[in-house]
Order: sequence, then C-alpha cells, then structure tokens
Amino acid sequence: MSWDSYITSLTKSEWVDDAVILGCTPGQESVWASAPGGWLSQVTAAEVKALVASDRSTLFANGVTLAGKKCTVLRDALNVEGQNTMDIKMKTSEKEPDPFSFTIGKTHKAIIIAKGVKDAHGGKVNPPVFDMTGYLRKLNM
Amino acid sequence: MGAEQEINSGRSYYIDTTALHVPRAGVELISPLKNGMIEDWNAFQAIIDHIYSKHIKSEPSLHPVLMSEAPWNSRAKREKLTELIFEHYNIPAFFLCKTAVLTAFANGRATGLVLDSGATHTTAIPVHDGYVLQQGIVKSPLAGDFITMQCRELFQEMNIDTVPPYMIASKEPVREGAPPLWTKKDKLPPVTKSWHTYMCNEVIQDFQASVLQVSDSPYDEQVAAQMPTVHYEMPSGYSTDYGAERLRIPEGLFDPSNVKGLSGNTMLGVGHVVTTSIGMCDIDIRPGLYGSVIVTGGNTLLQGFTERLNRELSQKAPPSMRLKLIACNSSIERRFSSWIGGSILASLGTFQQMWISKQEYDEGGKQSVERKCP
Repeated sequence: MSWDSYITSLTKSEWVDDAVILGCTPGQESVWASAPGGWLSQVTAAEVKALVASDRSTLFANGVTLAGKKCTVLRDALNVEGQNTMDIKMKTSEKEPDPFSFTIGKTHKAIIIAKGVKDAHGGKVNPPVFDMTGYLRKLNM
Repeated sequence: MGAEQEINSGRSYYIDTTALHVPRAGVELISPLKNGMIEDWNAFQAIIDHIYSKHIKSEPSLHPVLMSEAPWNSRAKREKLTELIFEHYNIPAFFLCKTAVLTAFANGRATGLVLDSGATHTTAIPVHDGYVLQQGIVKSPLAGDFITMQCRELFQEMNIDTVPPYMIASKEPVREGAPPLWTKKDKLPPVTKSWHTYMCNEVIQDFQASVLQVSDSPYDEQVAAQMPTVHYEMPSGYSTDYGAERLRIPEGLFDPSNVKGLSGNTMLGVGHVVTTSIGMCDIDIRPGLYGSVIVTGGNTLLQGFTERLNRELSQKAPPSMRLKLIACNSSIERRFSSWIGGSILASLGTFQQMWISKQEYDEGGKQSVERKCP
C-alpha cells in the first residue's frame, strides 16, 4: 500500500498544496508520507501528541503549532464520532504574512493534515480530508 | 414575524409588518425562531414562500441563496435547512454563514469581537479571519425584552395602562399626570392575547427607545435625581415627565446586581460578557479582538449605550490593550448588519469558491453543509 497515493489525491485538488500523514498512536508518531516540496513533513511527534490530546480545553486558549508555526484552532471535532476533523488557521506575523487554512483528520492509527492554498476558504480544505478520514476509518486504519 | 389563524384543515399565515398590524379574530402572533434557531418549520416555509411570491417574484431555482444563521446553530438544524433548500425549493447553490461573521464584514473587518444585543439575548461572539470561534461565545438573557419587562413593571407601579393604538378611536388632550380620556373603537374583533400583548409591547418599546438612557458611569441616585426629565405621551393621551427612571432601568444591562428579581443569579453585565468572551480565546488574537469590538443589534441603540460600554471595557481590559469600539450610526445598519454583510460577501470574487452547488449536495448529501460552511 502506497501512502504517497493518498497524498497526491489530496494535493491534486486546486485548493490543497501540502499534505502529510503521520502515525498518531503514542510512541509511533512518524511521518508515513508527505507531499514533496512542502513543509508539513516537519511536524513533530510532540505536536501530534498535543493535537490528539484528550483534554481539549487548552487548545483554544493556547493554540497549536505545526512544524513550529503557530496556529489558531477554529473548530475542533477531532474526537467527535462521525466528524473526526479539526479546522485551524495559521497565525500571521512578519515572517508569515498569509493565514493558511489547515484541516486535520484523525483515523484510528494516523492523522492527516492538509494545507490550503493562499486565500482558500476552510470549507474547501475540509471535505477532502473528511472523506479520506471516513474512508480510512472504515478500513480500520 | 408572522400571524397565523387556525382553520379546520390547515393554517393560513399573515406575514409582514402591514398584515401584522390589522386586528383579526382568532389570529395568534408567533415567531418561527426560538433562541435564534428555526423552531417552527411550517411557519418558516410559509415566510420563504411569501418572500418568493410577493417580494422576489421569481423562481427559486434561478437564484443561489446565501442565508445567515445563529452562531450556535445546531448541526441537525443546519442539515435540515440545507435539505429543505435543495430538495423543496431546488435552489441551485447555497451557503450558510454565521450572523456574527456577516456583521463583521458589514463593518469592514474579518476579525473582531461582535457584541450583538437584540431583543432576546446579548451575545459576544469572537470572529477571527471570517470564522466564528465557538468556544468563545458568551450569552446573556439581559437584552431588549428584559428592558421591556422592566418598563412594564414601572408602568404598573405608576398605575399607567399601556393602551395600544389599535384600540383607540379618539382621545382628548389632558393635563400632565391626569388620567387619560379616550374612546374605544367599536366593533373590534376578538383578538388573541398573544397579538394584544405584542401590540402593547410595541408601545413600551417606543417608550424604551425614546425615553431611556444609559448612564455613562455606574448608576448613582443623587446624580440620577438631577437628570433632566423627558416628557412622553402614551397613545391613550396620558403624558408625564420621567426622570431618574430613565437611567435606572437600563442600568440592569450593565450592572445586574441590583435588579429586582435577579438577585442571587450570577448574570453577567454587558462589559463582563465581552471580557469573558475574549478571555476564552487564544492569547495571541486577543489584541485583535479588543481592537475591533463591533457593536450591533437594536438594543444597542439605547442612548448612551456605546459610551458606557467604552468606559466599562477600558476599565476591565488589560492595561496595555488598545481598545476600539465600532458602531454604525444609523439604526438600519445596526439592526440589519448581518444582511448588509451578506450582500457584501456574496458580491466578493473570493466568495464564489465557497458555494455548495446542487451537484455537490447530490454527491455529498446534507452533511456537506457542516464541511463547507464552518
């Protein structure tokens, strides 16, 4: 099974330009596949742990980081049955002037992160991640 | 707002402000919304049918629809609405946007703390880059209807009858404070209690809008006693001057601790609603929220509301924070800011990617609304 084909099916959408699939079981948070040329492959194991933590209350007040870049949590349904997605947006600063949208999907063993292109609406990034998450969950992945 | 009548087989609806004010026998006055969300779907459908036939005068299948929704709208209601829109009305494309986001756009911003004080609720909704941060929404029931109730109690204490205009055939001028002299219209149909109450509330709301004022510092009896009085005449002809009550009644919005009937409750004043909401958000975006506090909703048109809010926030906000209140001057803009924002959003080039098309609905089902309309 090639995880790269999952990545390309995400990035082929005109609204998504970077994606990564990482393991999320504790101790096995490694990158399974990532888009070439993107920076999502640098998401660390600690960041994955923070994203899937069972205590969600600190996520909103403190935000999350992806590969060291700070993001604000907009909508969190990562642990909600039937949704399992989370929408976040990058915080802007002088180094990062564009607020990119991200959607994170959680399957049984992995998390999928997709990055929207500049000015992509969050509603364009969410559906492909949601569909893929649902598909992998059905396969017990 | 709509009025409905029970006929044997079905219900007929009377919709729109002109039809609303005609006294009819047995007609109840209802709102299809409860808590900002659609509760009575038949009445809602009747309103939509009325809009298409009497105002838009065109086929629903020819025009995409952008609809606003309450920021706390439930997923089930959103999906039910989407299903109704696509299946029943065959609308070609649809988008559901939260009112707070649209209000922010109407005020030229994508980020801000929207303070919406309407009839039923006062709510603070943080909006960041066009998205509502749902965990930061703070609601308080102290709003327009609460003030109306306080005014009604005042009139009861002063033994003033709120007679709505529909009952009055003629009236005579009387001395200030003297009992009113008016003659009742004959042949009035037996109207329902709900309709009559609404008409009385309109009288009280007119009083509320013209006489009441929010004090710019916390209410003080001595200061209030020296306030200039305002003369107000009821539809029945009864007229008198109002002094300290002008400040005392709206004080409950900002400082609920002294309000009768509320003691023991931990209600939040308007200033606290705002600061609590911002306090629940990501630390890094708080300066952006304090720097754009957008005031909207009919209840905020009370004289002195925004000045008092500005004062409260500058006291409660962290000292280094730059505070800016944004409030439209026109009453139309404040009451309908979400519609104005919707018309702005729908005209943007960047919005055209966001619609849910009929094809996407056919493929993805009603769940698409939760995905595509965050």
